[in-house]
Amino acid sequence: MTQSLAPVHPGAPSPVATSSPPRPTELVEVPGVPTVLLALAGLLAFGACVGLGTPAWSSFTATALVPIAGLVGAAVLTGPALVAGLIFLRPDVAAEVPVAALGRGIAAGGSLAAGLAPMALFLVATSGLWPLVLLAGFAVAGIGVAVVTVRTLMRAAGGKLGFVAAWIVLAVLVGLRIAFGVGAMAMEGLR
Amino acid sequence: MSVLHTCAAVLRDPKALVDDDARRSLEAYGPTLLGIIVVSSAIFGVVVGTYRGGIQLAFAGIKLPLLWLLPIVVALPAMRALYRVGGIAVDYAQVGPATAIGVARATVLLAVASPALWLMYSVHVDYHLAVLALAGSLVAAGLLAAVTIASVLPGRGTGKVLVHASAVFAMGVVFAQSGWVLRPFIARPRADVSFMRPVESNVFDSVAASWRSAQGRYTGWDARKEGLLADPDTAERAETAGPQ
Repeated sequence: MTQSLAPVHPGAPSPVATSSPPRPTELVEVPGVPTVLLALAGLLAFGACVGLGTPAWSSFTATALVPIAGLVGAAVLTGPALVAGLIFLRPDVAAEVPVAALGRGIAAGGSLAAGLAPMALFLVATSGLWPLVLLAGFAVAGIGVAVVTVRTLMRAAGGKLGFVAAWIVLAVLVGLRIAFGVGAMAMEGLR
Repeated sequence: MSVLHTCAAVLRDPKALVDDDARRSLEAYGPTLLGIIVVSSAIFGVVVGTYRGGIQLAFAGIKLPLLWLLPIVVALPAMRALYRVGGIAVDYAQVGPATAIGVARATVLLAVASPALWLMYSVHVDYHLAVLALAGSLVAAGLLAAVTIASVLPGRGTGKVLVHASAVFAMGVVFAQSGWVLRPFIARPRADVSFMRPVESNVFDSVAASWRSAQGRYTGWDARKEGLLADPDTAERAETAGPQ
């Protein structure tokens, strides 16, 4: 009877193996709404600072939305894949863990973007480097999201997270696609 | 603690200034560190101004402290965010004093080394050589400040090096652009003296153009007026002309 309960996926541990030591509680706490809203405000603030440097006001809105659209869009579109994938591949990991990890990642990306906003404002005020500032800031915030998400997952779920690497690639590609789509709208506004 | 003792601590053992309690050290040493930065960099600025003399002594003496303080103000939020995301839990009460200590150490050493620069400028060296000497001095001092900031803040190990490097890079970018915006520090011998030049182009384009010139490719350089603070007439033209 026990054999019939064994997981279908060969790489997944058996239910008996779930008696591993409990992970720290705080690692599976999903960030609250204020934290997430602050993160979104940070992303928006960074985008708005860069948007001020665009030579035409018609492209301001699209430029301001690039970071938030790229990062949040990627999280919304690929987040379910992360949650479902981990639930399927790692039965020992609580379902809240990937949600909490992604939430923490977004919060970190937002705080990074908020920190970069004064720098962005300074650079766009004194130079025409707004496209470079936008790309660099978006990349830094994206790396922050990825690093914190993976780090939280590793701490809560342990190693052997090859699936997460594949998810990161997917999320990066989706994020870039959205960002370039919105960025194209910004360039369209310049024409 | 007297100014002299604070200077000694900054030069000998900067970590000791923030070891006990970061918040207390900010209250205790903050004003003194700020004073050290302003006075030391102003001394260096006056020495830089001796290349042209006259009103440029005052202009450079005022702008050099701004060159060091502006990056602290602008890049501090980014540095703090980078440290926190990188797993080094620091707040403004730690990053602020650490940055001030690093900059104070760099400016004190610049000030004490300034007689050597004055000696060089006093024999009327070529303008480009004078600019190179100033840039070299600032880069060396900036690197010293970066190393000091990294050594004062917590976080060791190979993984943390990347975090320190990212934070210092952010400050370096602002430092470089600040230097470009606040130019001229050394006025050309026959040029009109002005406190600041119009906002145009950026430091990276300038370095690229200098690099091409150094390689013998004199293609010329059109420094376009760009940025929010650029001449409004130019911005209006750009609006009607389409993408820049």
